[in-house]
Amino acid sequence: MSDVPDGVATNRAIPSTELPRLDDIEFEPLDPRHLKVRLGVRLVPLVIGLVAAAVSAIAGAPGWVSLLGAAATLLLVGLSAVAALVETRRMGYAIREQDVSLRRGVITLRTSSIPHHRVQNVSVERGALSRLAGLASVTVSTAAGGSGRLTIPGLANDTAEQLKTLILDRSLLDDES
Amino acid sequence: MSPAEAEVALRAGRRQSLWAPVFMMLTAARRVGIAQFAILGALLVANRSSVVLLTIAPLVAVLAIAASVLAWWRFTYTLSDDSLTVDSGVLNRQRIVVPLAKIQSVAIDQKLLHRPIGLVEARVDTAGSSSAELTIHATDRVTAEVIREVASRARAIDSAASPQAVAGADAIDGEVAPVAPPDPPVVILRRNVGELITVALTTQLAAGLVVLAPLFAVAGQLDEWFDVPLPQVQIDGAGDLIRTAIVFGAIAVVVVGAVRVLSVVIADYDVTLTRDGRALRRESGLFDRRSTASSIVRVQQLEVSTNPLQQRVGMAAVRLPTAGDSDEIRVDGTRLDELAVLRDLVIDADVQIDTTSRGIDRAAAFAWWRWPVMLSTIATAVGAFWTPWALLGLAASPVSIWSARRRQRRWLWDNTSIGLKVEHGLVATSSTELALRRTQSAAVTQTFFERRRGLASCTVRTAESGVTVPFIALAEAQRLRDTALAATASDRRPWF
Repeated sequence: MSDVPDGVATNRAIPSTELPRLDDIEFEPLDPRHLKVRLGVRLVPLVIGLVAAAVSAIAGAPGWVSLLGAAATLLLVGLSAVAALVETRRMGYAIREQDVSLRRGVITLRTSSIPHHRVQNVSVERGALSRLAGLASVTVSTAAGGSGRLTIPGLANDTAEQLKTLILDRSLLDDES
Repeated sequence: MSPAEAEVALRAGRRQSLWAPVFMMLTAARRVGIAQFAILGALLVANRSSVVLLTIAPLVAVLAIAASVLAWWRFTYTLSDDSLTVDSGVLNRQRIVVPLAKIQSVAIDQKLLHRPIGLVEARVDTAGSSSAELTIHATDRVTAEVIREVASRARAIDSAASPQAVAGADAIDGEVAPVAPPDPPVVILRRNVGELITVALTTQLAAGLVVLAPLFAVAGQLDEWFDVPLPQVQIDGAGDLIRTAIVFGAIAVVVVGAVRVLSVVIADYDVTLTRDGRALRRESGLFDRRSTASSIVRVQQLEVSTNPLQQRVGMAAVRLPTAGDSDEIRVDGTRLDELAVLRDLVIDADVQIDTTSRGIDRAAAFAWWRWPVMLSTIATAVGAFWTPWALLGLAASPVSIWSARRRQRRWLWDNTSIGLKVEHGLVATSSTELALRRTQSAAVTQTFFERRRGLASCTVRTAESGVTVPFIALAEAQRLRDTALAATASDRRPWF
């Protein structure tokens, strides 16, 4: 026990030119089915809005009210569909030896990274629609709580399980090495 | 049931006690709000004859019972050699895998309702979230104790398997020997009542004068520039309104100040910060004597703030966010020499950064003043229709612009390969210093505003708090993020 452990002994300064750069690597895109799921979810408010407009027209509301309602529904759902489209295109995740990263955002762009050995727990979730599409999301949390959490959506079921196992293994492996 | 049998049952996968649906319904009801149920009950009583209510209420009750029974059915927990797996969810299936070694605590509560049926509630907590990771609403005590026991066994094995956990912690104290004789406790600081009154008044004025901050800053600087006492305010010929306002303002300041002094003296009476081996202990209080001890290695960062008044009396407010929510250490009146001692304790010498030289982009000032200026201008324009006095609101814009510029100029930061320090503040200066090896997660964020200008923010989160450096060049933000990740990857000392 007299030797100083490796982790403590090697702490040389890394020149910034030698830093492993996260932006040099390719981020992996999400499963294409994820976009369909996100668009599918938006059918619900679309149908509700349009039906409500139709009902109000039948019930004798002034024509412009129903038209305005339908137009607003179309506009809002359309905008959120475009946002979903843009975000899904942009989203990607990357697993390196030491950390897992996620890139996301529509207007504000974020790239968050969590070192594997900081992972406190990994969970896999499947929503009702995602389950139909065979998709799952993986959430990685750290001791930083809610703000230090990262959720990778739109993963095929087996990819999600593999990812979970990989991150979990690495988080444990680091503790023992 | 014996503990051994309970463990076998746990490994096979278990459900909660059949009573659990009752507790789940109670939890859900509490979340909806007792008031809502009271209203529903009152409605029922008032409209006893209403067919709709009489059919809906039982229907809701049946649905709630069915849902909680279903939830109980789908909620299973299984123990394996190294983790606890929980499957739950009626419509959305969820599986949580908690590594046993990372379970921080298992709280076993027996609430009033648990008592007659002899069951307990178990809450498994990892450091990952402020609330419990998973709650088992009703189970027998033996099972709960087994979970606690298994988790503590796993933690013990885990720390035995990683010797650097112990050696690393020691290295912070500059000791390599695994067993060092315990040092006698050293008092780092202690405040008497007189000093506490000073503390209360200096920190209080800063809080009370937030509104007058710009004026205060100018006055403070005038004092420095010309070395003269503060100019006397002339109120000759001032209207009754102004005089009343001044009198009431003065009374308010005195009352608030007195209350503040009292509360500080009562809460912080004889505040003592002691270093006891590897822990920092803070004791204070006149009536309730409160004592908290936290391990020095769990301190995540050092936060120091000083306003001009505190600077004059040579004191600073120090906060030490510590992993584990409740035991943050704070001392509002720390002398500068005591601060140096504290800093050496919680931030390694090689991590310390003495001067911060890098600023943030000038665009930050614009980002900060554009909304206040726009809103105050609109408000002034609208107000001018009623009274010409509203035009005074035009003065708000230069003040916003000036303070945003000042804030931007005073925002400084710097990092090394292992440390990060930021300093900022309009009038008071807040500084945060941390070791990058404590990074829990790192993120680069670009708002639309930043993106158009090639800027970005970098956030480094620690287990208890963190630091955001805003409005810096994208490449700089990325480099800071990569540095933080490299620092935590190469230094495997534990963060807690």
